[in-house]
Order: sequence, then structure tokens, then C-alpha cells
Amino acid sequence: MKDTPLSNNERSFVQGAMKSGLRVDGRGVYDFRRIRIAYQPERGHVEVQLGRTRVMVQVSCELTKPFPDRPAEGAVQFNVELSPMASPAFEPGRPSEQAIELSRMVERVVKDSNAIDTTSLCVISGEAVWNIRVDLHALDHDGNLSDALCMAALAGLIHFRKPEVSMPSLSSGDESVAGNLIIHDVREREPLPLSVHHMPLCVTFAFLDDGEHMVVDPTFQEERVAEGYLIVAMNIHREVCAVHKHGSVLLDASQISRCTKIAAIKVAEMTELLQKSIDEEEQLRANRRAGKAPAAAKSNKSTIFEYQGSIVQ
Amino acid sequence: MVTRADGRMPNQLRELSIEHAVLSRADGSSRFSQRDTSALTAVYGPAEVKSSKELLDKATVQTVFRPKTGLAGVDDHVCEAILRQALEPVIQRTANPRTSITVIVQVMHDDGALLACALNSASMALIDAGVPMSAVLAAVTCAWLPAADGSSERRLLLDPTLEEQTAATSIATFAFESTNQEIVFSSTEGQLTVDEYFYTIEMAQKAAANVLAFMRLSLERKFSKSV
Amino acid sequence: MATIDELFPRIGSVVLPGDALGDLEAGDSADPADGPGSTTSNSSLHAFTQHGGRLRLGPGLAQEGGRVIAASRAGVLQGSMGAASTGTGANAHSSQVARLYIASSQKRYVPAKDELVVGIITDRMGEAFKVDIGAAASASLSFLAFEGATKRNRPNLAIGALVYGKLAVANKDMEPEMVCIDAADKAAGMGELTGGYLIHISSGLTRRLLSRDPAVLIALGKHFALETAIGLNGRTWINAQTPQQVVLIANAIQNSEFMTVAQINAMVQRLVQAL
Repeated sequence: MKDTPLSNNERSFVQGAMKSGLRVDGRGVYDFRRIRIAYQPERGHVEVQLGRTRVMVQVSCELTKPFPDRPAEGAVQFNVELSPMASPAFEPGRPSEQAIELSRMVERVVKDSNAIDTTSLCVISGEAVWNIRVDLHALDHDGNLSDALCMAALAGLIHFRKPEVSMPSLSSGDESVAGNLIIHDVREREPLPLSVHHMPLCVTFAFLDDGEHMVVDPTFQEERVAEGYLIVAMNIHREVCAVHKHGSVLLDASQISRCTKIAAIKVAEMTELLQKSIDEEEQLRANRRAGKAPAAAKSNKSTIFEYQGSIVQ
Repeated sequence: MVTRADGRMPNQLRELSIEHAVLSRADGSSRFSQRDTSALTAVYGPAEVKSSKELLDKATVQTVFRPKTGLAGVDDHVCEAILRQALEPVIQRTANPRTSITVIVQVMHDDGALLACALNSASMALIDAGVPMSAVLAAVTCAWLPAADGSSERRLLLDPTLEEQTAATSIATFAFESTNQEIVFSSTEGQLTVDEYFYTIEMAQKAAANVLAFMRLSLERKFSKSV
Repeated sequence: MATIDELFPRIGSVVLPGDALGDLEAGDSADPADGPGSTTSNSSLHAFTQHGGRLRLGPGLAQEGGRVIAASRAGVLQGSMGAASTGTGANAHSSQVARLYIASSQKRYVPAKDELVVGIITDRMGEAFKVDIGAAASASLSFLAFEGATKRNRPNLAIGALVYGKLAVANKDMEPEMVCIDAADKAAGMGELTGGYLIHISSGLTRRLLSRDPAVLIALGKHFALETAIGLNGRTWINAQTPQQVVLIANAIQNSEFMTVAQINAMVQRLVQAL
């Protein structure tokens, strides 16, 4: 299916507004939309909303043989799925160029910045390592998928737990299991978190007029009228983890430096939000384990209608 | 009566919840949850249709079923076919000839009875989109478990969890339409005697009436706010 | 004289697709096991039609099997009773007309004849523009369907321009045709929409804007001048003196969807003060 065409009226209005520092949704040029992070019952399953943009992540793992050149390192794989659910312009079937570009983007930001300790994913050097798979799904596309996806990937990796593995030694007496890896059921032994070194997050800028005008966290409509984009990935320590520029706009070096300064502030805010949401989630789970949990307060109560499971006579 | 691992009675459904119109881009959407099992559906249409798929006298129904992890495999394509076959009879396809109605289901979490949950979610999303329909669809999954200790009879469980499904000797999913509670879709795996099959239908039909009553309540709530 | 509620007891309540709402035949034909979705078999509807009463079914309703009136979408059942005269001269007799429809809200547009829509020009082909109206098929808009247009004097509209017009042809089997002139060949407010901004809203909100007293437009109009072109295809064009005002109008209209009149007035007041 095709996207709704953009009228010239919308294009010139949104561009004109951007040039005068006005945004159609009433935000300031440096404002992010409201971010909501919802952790689901399964470990590694998180939904992230950025305004109306909505993405979902599921992290999973399996034991595999390591690459021969890196016998003591596990692997982390990213896969972004742009389902037609998110936008009529997304076609089902093979991953589109945009999906591959976003997968690679998340990979650069999270994996290539060494946010995940891959050596700790090693179980037996040269024999068995954990292969972590990060499946990211775009559910609703109202612009700036990259920032939402990066945040979801990170939240999913932090929320995820990998099962504990042990290998009974020959001395244990039971020869039938000796030398075989045992993956312990999560109910049997507490699964372990991944070791996350730092939290790189993305901030996307959209430009008009050769970079003269700029907005942070563009909506789908702003993305459609913008001439170029700059994605800056940073962590709380103000370390730049990735910079990606695309589109036809030519940017001045000073403009990029200005963007990194803005990104540093935004990343600090987002990190705080992410950390707070994770702390709350872990607290909630701890309470639930201790049995003193009130059922998780459901957000968005107004639109959800629930009732008790009925008994069929 | 033996209660189940999660404390339910054998003939008890899990708590249901519906979120209407969750997505901004789709023409209609709905998230349907049976406790932890959850599916999100987006509907587009009646929209333009590729000329290769165009039907002169009715709308083309297209379905997409997306797993939570990994790429769509054979099982997912089977689900796409099932969804299409179950939804086509309740959609008034002749009302919008030469158009497409696309239904995209995203698995949010599978803790058993996923197919029924996907069908329920698709049914609600079609209603949210305002696609003309001849009835509402409500689906239920049932599982037969091997005899418990001290009993010689197999047990029928409604709306099984994944754990119960794994232990089951047979699983059956039915979809019923709302006007005469007729069967629109039936699928069983594993062995069942003829008597067991008819008993399963009878129970599933009653359970589906409960699901439908919940859908109705939820929509009444939604419309009392909006219109 | 029967009231509409007597003919259709479910007026005002939520109905679902497949719900039988009334039976044109007499007698107790409805299956009592049908549950809440079933018809309350009423002989008054039968009597009504027998005595020359007529039924007019609006969107979301259809007659099934020639006798049962069934819903085809979910929404609140609405209706009204009116008088209509049929025939002419000596044969003329007035009868009652029961109008029935389902109030619901959609995003996707299904074209209907004589409805006003806002379209986007996507192409020129031969003697007509191709216009996206948000429906399954594009509409065609003849170069001659503008006020004052002739073979020599063609309207010059760019690709991407917005047009406000009426659907002269719209049915399920044909490509919709749009015109920007009324029966007297006058523009009557139709034609190209220049400047301003376009918002995308549901059909329910659109109908509210088109009602006799659209609360949100009245509230906004007290503060500044504004211009609108409301399309039944879920697209509403808005314009005002400053971009700030346009943004305010866009947000006010979108916010107003599920609000009461009092809430709308308070919301508009708040937005205007923040301007």
C-alpha cells in the first residue's frame, strides 16, 4: 500500500513553522515527545512509546559454537522488523533497505560501542557461547524510529536474564551427565543479567535550509519535509558512541558540535528515565516474588477494559 | 474438581482485556489479551489493491502473522491462512469490491491459546476499522490432558496455558460467529474420539459466548465514551 | 402513530455487526436463544410497514433475506421519524419515514455520492486530474469541472495541491468522480485550497464539526477569525491569520473528539491563554 500523499499545503506549513521555531504538535524545537517504557511479564520483552511512535523488543538467547577467530566471545544479533502494522508503506516479506539500515544503526550504537560485554557470554572457550538475539518490531510509525528502537534495544538487554549453565565434573560420580552442559530452568536457579557496560542512547535531529533550522525528535510529518537528518548516539559520560548523517543537507562542523551538546543533555534526561523505569520494574518483580505484590498497576487504564476469567457451565 | 496449576477451574477462562484503537497509523487496531497471552492487530482497508490480487466482485482479504522472535516460518504462514479463512466468512466482502482489507497480527506474548487470541484480536480490530461485517467472531482454544492420578478419564481444559498445551494429548481451536453461534473455523491436533470432539465443541461454544459477551461489554464501554 | 423507539427498541444502545434489529415480517420469528444480539420481535414494525410506513436505512445497516434489518458495523443505533410525501397530484399521500443509522467513527473513507471531500492532486491524465481522497481508489476531477473553466481556460493546479469538491459519482463498482462546481456551475466555496494546513480526523469528529453548532469551532471563533473546509473523508483544511493560531486550531479540534461542550470551552480557553 502507498502512504497518504503529502499535500503542498502541509509541506509548506510544516516547513514554515519549523523555520520560525514552531511545531505542529506544540513542542519546542529541542523537546522530545513523551517517552513511555512498559516492561512485560517475560524477561527481555519491552514496549517503548515515543509519542505515538511505538516499538517492541524481545531479547532471546541460545547456546552456539563461537566463531573460530573469537573463541571466547559470545554474539549479539539485532533484527529490526518494519511490519506493515506500523505504516502502510512498509511491505511484508523481505526486510526493506530501511529495515536493514535501522538494524545496522542499532547494532552500531549498542554493539559496536561495546555496551554489551561479549566475553561474559562465553561458557566454554571454543566450545559454547551465548548468542543473544534482539528482535525489534516497529508497531506504529510516527517518526523517529531510530531513537525509539535504540532505547528499546537497550531496555530489553538490561531487562533480559540468561539462564544459568553448569557442567557436572567427572568427579561428581554420575558419568551419564558428565561433560554435558546443563541449562538450568529459570524456576530452578535464578537467571543472570547480561553485563551492560554503559547505556548509549540516540538523539535524532532533522534539518531544513542547509542545517539552518533544526528540530529534535521529528514526527513522521517533520521527517517527510526535512532535508537531512543527524543521529547522535551518546552515553551519560558524554562519550559519543555513533554519529550518522543522511539526507541531502550539508552540515557545518560547528552545527554538528552544537548537536552533540544538545544530545548530551537529552541523553542525560533519557538515561535517568530509563534507569528509573528499570529500578521500578525490578522493585515490582522483587515485591511480587516476596508475595506482597499488588498486581502491577496497569497504565492507560481508561482504554483497557478487563474482567475476571469466567467459568463456563 | 481438580484445579489447575494457576488455580483455575478446568472450565474457567483466563482474565480477558481489550484495548481498542491502540495504533495511530492503522485504520483500526486492537490488543486482545488472555492474561499473559496477547496479540496486537492492525487493519487497513478498504484500501487500494494490487491489480494481481484484485477481485472484481469482492474485497481481497490479506493477512500477515508476525512472530515475536525470529523470522516468519512455515507455522506462521499456516496461521496467516487460518486467519484469512476464518475472517473471510464474517467480512461482507461484496460491499467493497476491488479493494483490499489487510489484517496484520503481531504476537505480543504466547502463553497458550495463541491462535484463539489472534483471532479475537483480529475480530476486534476489524470492528474498530469499521469494515462491514455480517457477524462478530469469537474464538476459544481447548486442550485435553491425560488422566490425572486416581482418575481414568481425560480432562478437558478451556483456554490452556502454554504449559498445559505442552502436556496435552490434543488441542482444539474453534471460532464462532455471533448471530447463530455457528462454527466458522475448527482445527484440532492430536487424537480425539467422536464423543470427545462433540463435547469439546459444546464447551467451546459456551466459552465463546462468554468471550463474545465480554467483547460486547467492552465495545459498549468504548462507544458510551465516544459517540 | 408509532415512535421510533417503539419500532426499534434498541435505539440509543450499542449494536454489533450481525445484530438483528427488527423484523419486517409479523410474528414471533426471532430465535429466543440468540441472546442479547437478537431482535426483540415486534409486530409494531410489521404494522408500520403494512400501513405505508417507509424505512430508510443509513450507513452500517442492511436488510438481510428481505426481512431482517441487521447491523454491519459496531456503533450506537440512531434514528428519527419524519413525514414524506410520495406520488403527485391526486395520488399523493403522505406517509411516515423511519430513518435509521449507526453512529460510529472510522478513519478510512468509503466514497458516497454528493459528499464534500478534501483531495490531494496526485497526477494529471488527459482531460482530468487524479485526486487522492483517502479511499481505495483515486477520484478523477475533470479540467472542466471548475467554475469558469473552458477547453481553452484550464485550471492550473500543481501536483500536491489541495482541492475541496463534491463527489458526483461514487459507488462501489466505479471510480469516484469529483467536481468543484454545483448544479448552477458555480464554485460555491469549492475549488483549490491555498495556504493553511490539513488535519486528519475520524469520521465521527468530522460529523461533529459539520453539526449545526460545532462547539469547538464556535469556541475558537470567539477568539480569532478562522477558515475551514471540512471534508467527509476525514480531512479538514484550516487556516487563520498566523501559524500559531493554525497550530492552536489543529490541536483544539483534535483534542475535542471525546470532550463535552464545557470541557471544549475550557480547553480552548486554556490554549488561547497559552498563545
